Amino acid sequence: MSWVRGAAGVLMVAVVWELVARTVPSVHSYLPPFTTTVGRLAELVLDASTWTALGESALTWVSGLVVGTLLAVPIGFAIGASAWIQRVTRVVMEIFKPIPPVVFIAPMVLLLGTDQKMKIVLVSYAVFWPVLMQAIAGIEGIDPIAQRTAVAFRIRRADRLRFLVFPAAWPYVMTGLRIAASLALIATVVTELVGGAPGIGQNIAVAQINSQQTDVYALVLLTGFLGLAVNRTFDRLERSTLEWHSGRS
Amino acid sequence: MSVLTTPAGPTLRRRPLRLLLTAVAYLLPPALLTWWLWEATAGSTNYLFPPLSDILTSLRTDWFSSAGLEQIWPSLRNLLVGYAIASVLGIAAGAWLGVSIGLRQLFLPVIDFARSVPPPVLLPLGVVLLGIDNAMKVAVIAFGCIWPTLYGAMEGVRSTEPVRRSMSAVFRLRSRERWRMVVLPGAAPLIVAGMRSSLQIAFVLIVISELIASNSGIGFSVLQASRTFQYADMWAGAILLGLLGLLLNLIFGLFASRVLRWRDEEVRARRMS
Repeated sequence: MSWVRGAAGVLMVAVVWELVARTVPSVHSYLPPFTTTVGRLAELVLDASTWTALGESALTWVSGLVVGTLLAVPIGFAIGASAWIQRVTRVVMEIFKPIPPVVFIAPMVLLLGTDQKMKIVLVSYAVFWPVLMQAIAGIEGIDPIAQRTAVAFRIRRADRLRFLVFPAAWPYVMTGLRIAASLALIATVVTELVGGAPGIGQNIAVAQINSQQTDVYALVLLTGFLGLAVNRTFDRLERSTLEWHSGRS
Repeated sequence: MSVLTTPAGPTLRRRPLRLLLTAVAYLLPPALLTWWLWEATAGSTNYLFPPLSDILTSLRTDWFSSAGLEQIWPSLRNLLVGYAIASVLGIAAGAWLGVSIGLRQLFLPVIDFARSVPPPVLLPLGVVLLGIDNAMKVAVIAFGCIWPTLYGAMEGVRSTEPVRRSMSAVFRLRSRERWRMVVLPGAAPLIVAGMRSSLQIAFVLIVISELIASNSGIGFSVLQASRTFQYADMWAGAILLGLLGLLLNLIFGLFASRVLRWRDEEVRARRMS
């Protein structure tokens, strides 16, 4: 009966929120009560424009994740295959990796406008680095004996990729994807919040500028549900594709 | 020991050369890339890609100057304070959740939800709740980056090997000794892995926390340069962020290898036998 306890935990937080909002006078103007927020959330959920915004955000997120991963995995495998290429690329990668995509929003808006394309480019950039690093680590982590066995048995390159490289690197890539998934959601929301592209982030920015406190809270809750859906999907994907792999964390 | 077992002669003679080659392999490519970019962008009139010489000049005047350091310090302080809070709270809460299935069932749904809220949307909320000072930025950084550490600590404590748990019961270790000598060292690899992800997220959040309602800091300056089409300044800021990230990762790497030394030694010993 784990869900009963879970529901009790959620209820506890809701009650504390409600009590604080209703009884502490100093936060009264900042914090709408839980029930009011949920009521507003229900209204927003029934509004078609909310779904349009949510759809825009979800589309950007998925496209960016796909594009970033499709670029990062082959490049990561190529780099990981040789210790020399790794050394040669290391310092350059380590310098580029920490630069957050937010920095490039303004020039990207100038180049591509405030539409999907701009958002997808920035989100793919955010996704690229964690997946790349994990793909490299995945290739490094291949059992050298298995590799030599495959060479000794003269297994064809395509088969080696399919039966040795992919299965061995997949757990690492999956970890990278999980980190990338949440970074991609951050990047999506930021481009909307700052770049002025349509999406759930823009709705929050507009609500904040108009001092519609309740709307800000309701939309943050809604974004939380979007993130929850994202995380759940990835946990499930990871579990179902890695059932054979005992060392997963 | 190792002196006796390794064939000392040839390895010793070859070592300086190897070291030199490795250093060249690491440092030559960035040097070549810099040189190529310098040549390729010299006299560039493209507004988005100004000459590298201009970028490096702004890097020096904007950042490696007393005014620049005054911009870097508040951001770095927010990062360090937020990250420290997140690490301490994350490990404590994670360990607490890791020991009891009842607590996990009670709180995991709420925690799963909280970690799913993308931190940038907390910015408008933070401004509403905490105002526009450093406390808000620290709170956004701490809240945004706590989750990987918390989950790492929880999984690490939960997965303490049953044999070790029974052993510590047999030895009648007191609860404090058990935590210090058995549970926490066992959980360390997962905690460190979590802290590594947390650091990456915290680093992104220094810029994001300075997106709105801010008038100083690295993130603010870079965004300001980028919004006002000062692209040489923007690239200089990006390079600074890259270098800072590199430095933080190096420091974290040293910390991690120190914390996990016992495990690496164990792995090496197992490989030798």
